Formats: sequence, C-alpha cells, structure tokens
Amino acid sequence: MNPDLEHRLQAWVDGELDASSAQEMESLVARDPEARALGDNLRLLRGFLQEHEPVRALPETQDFYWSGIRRGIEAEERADRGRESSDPSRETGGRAWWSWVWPAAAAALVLVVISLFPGREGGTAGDLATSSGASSSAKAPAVVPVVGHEIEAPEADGMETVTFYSSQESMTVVWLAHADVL
Amino acid sequence: MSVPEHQPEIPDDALVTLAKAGDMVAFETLVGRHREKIYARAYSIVHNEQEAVDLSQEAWIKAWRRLAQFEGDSSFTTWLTRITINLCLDHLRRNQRHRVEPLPDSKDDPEALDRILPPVWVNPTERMEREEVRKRIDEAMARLSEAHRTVLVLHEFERMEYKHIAETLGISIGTVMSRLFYARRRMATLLAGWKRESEEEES
Repeated sequence: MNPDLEHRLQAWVDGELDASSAQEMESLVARDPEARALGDNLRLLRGFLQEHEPVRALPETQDFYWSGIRRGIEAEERADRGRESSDPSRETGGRAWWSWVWPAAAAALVLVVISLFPGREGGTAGDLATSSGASSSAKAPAVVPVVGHEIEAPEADGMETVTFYSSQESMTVVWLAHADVL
Repeated sequence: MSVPEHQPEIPDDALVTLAKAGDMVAFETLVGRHREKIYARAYSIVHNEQEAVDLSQEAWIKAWRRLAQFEGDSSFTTWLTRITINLCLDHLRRNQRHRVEPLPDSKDDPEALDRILPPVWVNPTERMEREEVRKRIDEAMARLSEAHRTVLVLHEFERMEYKHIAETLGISIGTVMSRLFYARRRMATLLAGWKRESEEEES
C-alpha cells in the first residue's frame, strides 16, 4: 500500500473525508484485507491512546506554583507602568493639557513685555507701532507701523493695538487690549 | 495565601467574570482548579518538567493579561489550553528542536503491515494496568520527535481536526497526515514491543 493511500485511509478513519471519498474508502476496505486491517489498527490505536492519555502531576506545590504566576503578573504590570511613563503618546489628558500651556504662557509674557514698553524697539531689528483707534472719534486705521509694515488694526471702540515686528526673527506679534490697560 | 481550589459552587464562567474585573482571588481559584491539566498539556508537548512548569505559568500570566479578549466562545480551559500550546510551540521553534525522523522504507518487506501498525491490546478493568499503560504511552511519546509528538497530541488528546492542526503549526494538511501516520506507526511499534516483553516475562 502506498503512502498516499495509507494517509487517505487514515483520514477516512478520522472522519476527515468528504462523502464521496469516504464511499471510495469503504469500497476499498470491503475488498482489500490489507486496507481493512490497517483501518482497524488505526482505529484501535486511536481509541487506545485517547483512553490512556498520560497523566503528569505538577511537580510543585500549589502555593509555590501560584506565587510564580503572581510574581509574573506583577512584573508585567510594573513593566507596563514603566512603558507608559516613558511613552509621551500614552500620556493622559491631564498631562497633555500642560503641553500647550507653556507656549501660551511664553507668548503672553512677550506681549506683556511689549505692553510695558510700547515705545521701544524690540531689539536691534524690531519695529514697534502703537495707535489708538478708540480714544479719538475718527474711525481711521489705528495702527501705523514705524518702518514700512502694513498692518491692519481693528476699529472697535476703546481698543488699543500694539504691533511688533522682528525682521530678524521673521515674526509679527499683535496685542489687543482695552485702552485703559495701556 | 493558600490556593482556594475547592469552590465547586462557583462555575468557571463566574470566576472569569470576576477575574476580568481585576479579582485576583478569583483568578487564583481558576489556577488552583486547572493547573494540573495545563501543566500536563505543556509537558505532553515539550516533555521536560521544568520547561513545562515555566511555560504553563507563562500561559496563566498571558491569560490574565488577555482576559478581556476572552469572549466565552469556547470554555475557559479550551482557551487557556490553546494559549499554552502556542507558547510551547513558540518555545520549540525558538530552540529549534523540531526534528523530523525519516520514514523507513517498507515497500519490499512482506511483514511491513504488522511492523507498521501492530494491533494494541489492553485490559482496561485493571486499575494498576491502566496506570502502567499510561506510563508506557508516556515513555513511548518521549521517543517521538517533537514534530511528530506535537501532531499526535493535538489530534489524539486535543481532538483537533487536520485543518486546525495545520493552521496551528503552520504546515500543510498533507504534512499533518504524514506526521500523524508516522507517529501512530511508531507508537504502535513501541507499544507492541512492550507487550511482547510483558508476555515473555509472564511465560
């Protein structure tokens, strides 16, 4: 009997063949004593093994075995916490909230400094312009840059605008405040 | 803390639900209830006591961490056994200990059939004999290659179908069939040899 036939006979014994293939095997077994003997032995061996599956006793006490599992769980959880604390993408919403506070605070500080020294240039390349569009009755543009920068200002009553431009930094800062503040 | 293993009034499903909520005592109860089975399955594949202990513990740790993924499609022990089997297979792959023994050529041997699959016989009514049979089967399985033993364990003891075994091991169904046939043939030969020895001793 060739290996292919042996394997198909085995598949038949194991119930792995479709109906037509199973029918072929039944016919073969009916006329071939060798195939029938092989099928019988395969079936006998399978039942024998399944009925006598080896039983292997755990060689550790219950407490010792469980303590190893508990230590493993705790170690994994510690590792998880370590990964979370070192991974910015895992930060909580509270922590993420602080990420934009500091830049905002820095920008506010810059504006406060500008507001305290409105007539001075911000460094060697800074241009500063102020105007008041509220204190006067005219609704003319309120901001006139000192050195050739066209900057529009709001026309709201009582509002002051301070504009700072640094050519060195390629940066423009516009600060809006009530006239009383300035 | 002692393992609370005798709580038959609490079914596995209820313990799993509690464990999912973080109840470590419920999980400990599951460990106490099923540790022997999980260890035995690990041992049946790796056939090394310490490795089986380590791998079965690793399976429990992994189960705890993946409890949220267990949806109850199968029993908890079936799910856990699959985790254990996969860990054992990964372990064998890492250690590259899969050795497939060549099939002996029996085409020209007139007694090939008897040698290939000699019939087995046992009297299951004698308890001591059953224990002896289990021991002999364990010894015979230890003499199989890991590749053949794994297929045999998955089919005969885990009752997996060929297709599922092929998927689990990453091999073709044809390879499953040939490995299973060879493993059975080898087991039958080894067990028949033991039976002959027993008969000779009795006579």
